[in-house]
Amino acid sequence: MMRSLWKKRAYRFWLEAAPYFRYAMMGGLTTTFVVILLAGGYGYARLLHQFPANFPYLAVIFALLTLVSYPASVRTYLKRADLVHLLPFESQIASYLKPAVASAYLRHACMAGLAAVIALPVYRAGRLSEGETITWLHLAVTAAVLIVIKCFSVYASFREGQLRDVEVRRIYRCMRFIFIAVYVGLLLTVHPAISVWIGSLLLLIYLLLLRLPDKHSFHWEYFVQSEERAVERIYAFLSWFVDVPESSRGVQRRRLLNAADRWIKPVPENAYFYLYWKFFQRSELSRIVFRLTIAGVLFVAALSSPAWKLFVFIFFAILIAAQLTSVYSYHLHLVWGQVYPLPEHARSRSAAMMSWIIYCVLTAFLLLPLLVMTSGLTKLAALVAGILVIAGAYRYFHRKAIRTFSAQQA
Amino acid sequence: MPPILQLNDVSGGYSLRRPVLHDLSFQVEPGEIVGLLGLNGAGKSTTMKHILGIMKPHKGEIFVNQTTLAQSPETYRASYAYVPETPVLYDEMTVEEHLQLTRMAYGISEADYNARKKELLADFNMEEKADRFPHQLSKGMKQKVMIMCAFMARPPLYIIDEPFLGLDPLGIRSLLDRMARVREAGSSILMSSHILSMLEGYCDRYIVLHHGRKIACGTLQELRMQVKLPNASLDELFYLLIKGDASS
Repeated sequence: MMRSLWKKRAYRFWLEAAPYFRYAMMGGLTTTFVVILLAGGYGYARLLHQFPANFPYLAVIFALLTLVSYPASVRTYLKRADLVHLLPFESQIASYLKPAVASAYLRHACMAGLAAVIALPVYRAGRLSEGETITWLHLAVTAAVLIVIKCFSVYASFREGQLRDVEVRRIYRCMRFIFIAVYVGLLLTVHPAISVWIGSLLLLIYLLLLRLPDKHSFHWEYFVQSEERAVERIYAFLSWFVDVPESSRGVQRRRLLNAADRWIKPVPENAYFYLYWKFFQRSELSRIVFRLTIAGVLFVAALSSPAWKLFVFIFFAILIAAQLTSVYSYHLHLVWGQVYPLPEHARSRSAAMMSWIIYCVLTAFLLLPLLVMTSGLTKLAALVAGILVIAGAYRYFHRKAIRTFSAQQA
Repeated sequence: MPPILQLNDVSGGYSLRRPVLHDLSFQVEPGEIVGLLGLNGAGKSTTMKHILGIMKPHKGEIFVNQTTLAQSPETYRASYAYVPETPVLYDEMTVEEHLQLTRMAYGISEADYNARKKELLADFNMEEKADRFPHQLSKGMKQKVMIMCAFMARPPLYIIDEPFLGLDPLGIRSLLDRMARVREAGSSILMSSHILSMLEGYCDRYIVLHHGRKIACGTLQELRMQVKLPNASLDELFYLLIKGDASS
């Protein structure tokens, strides 16, 4: 019964999410995917055929493979209500989780395989450009080891979830990241036989260390929260393209961003601004846009062609703008908005201004490598593109906010 | 002095065909605590939602501080603070940030905000929780946040729906003390609760609702006169009033 319950829940979840994916595909997901595929494919093919002499391929591949190898979520499809209804069946939870873990291994192994298929030809081209030889067997072993690392990460991450102490869990996660990074680094720089021996020893040490701390027999609350975060991530992604149902969102403190609070004057006109700033600061959204900005900065910096730099800048600027507007869908039905004495129409104006100010800061970061690494006409073009993007975003944020909130009021 | 809250023949509800409230009229005077009593589904929360402006009456008028919502939404809303039956907090904001939001909405000065915040956190034993998010609070603590936000605003009218649910004894005592203090300062409170023994010692008047209609209204003494039981407790009076109305 427990085993089939997971399958039923997985089926029901995807059945519920499927229409949103369908709408997202009609609402720009397909176009984005095709653009990324064409632009990425073209750039990738050019990279392999005309490998740039100074391309920092080792650093890029190391970063890519480490970042792909570390995350290892297991979809349990557990719900809050399970703390009441499934708790009495804890002794049978292993049979419920069996298909969950098996599906996680398969999903993550495929992801690692795909990353290897993309990264290893570049690695080979880089090694050949330096006059070194590399056999296909070497690449095959590297790919296989990457899949093993990813499966290790799934197992370790699941075990970390059972740890009783949240601080200890953080330490172990950090340790796992370091061990994986070291293993990937060894794979790319040392002879495969040596790297496999040392790396496997590292993973073994980690697994032995993982036996030491106190654990729950099953940490219900942790896995329920993890599942909620997983659902939230999927809907946060879909919200780029379509309106998705509001769900409970994970909250992160992000103390560093609290410093910005002092810039918000505590007057009624700014109450909505403050509210949306907090939604942004504490939600998954801030993490997503910060990551997009960092990825954009790295891509712009890594590319050599000024035209490509400019294209990638605009591409990421549009992505960030689209993502930022998803903050409007947070708490669409604000009870306090109807109860507190707040100025009418302040909501859409404040939400739009908050998004735009953050956008200006992020765009400035995105623009930095363009301005620093180019000269003459390209620099001027970058500056003009930056101003146009920011001006266009101002209009876009305001129109989108008015549309969202007036649709909600209607 | 004019009443702080006045309802004139208010009918309302979720559907025009099936109104929940029927020709409801009552008023709350300045410096008065009024208990709104009724069984589950009697229309207490619906009455409050109409006063708050979350629901629009089918007919009749509601004045808060002599203003209707249509005349001046901001003045109307600045005249009351609300404590809902179920705590409504933003997951993304800490306890202190909820107080800060209330401060912004009601335009409270920094000096007043700091003084009130310190006092409220101490009174409700929440100093150590100021930096916590709602998911890190118990139900009673969340209710305390709602109460603190309402008392942070210091408006002339408080609308409090079932405030005692989940509160610890210290929280209940702090709330009752504070209610007495705001009454002394001239503010009014309209409050609903099923814990009638708790209301008995604090309310100046009572309004009894049944099936969306006002079936009785007055001081404890006046209600006793109505059922002809000079020594009856509020619990007994309520039971007799509801039973009497049900049988009539």
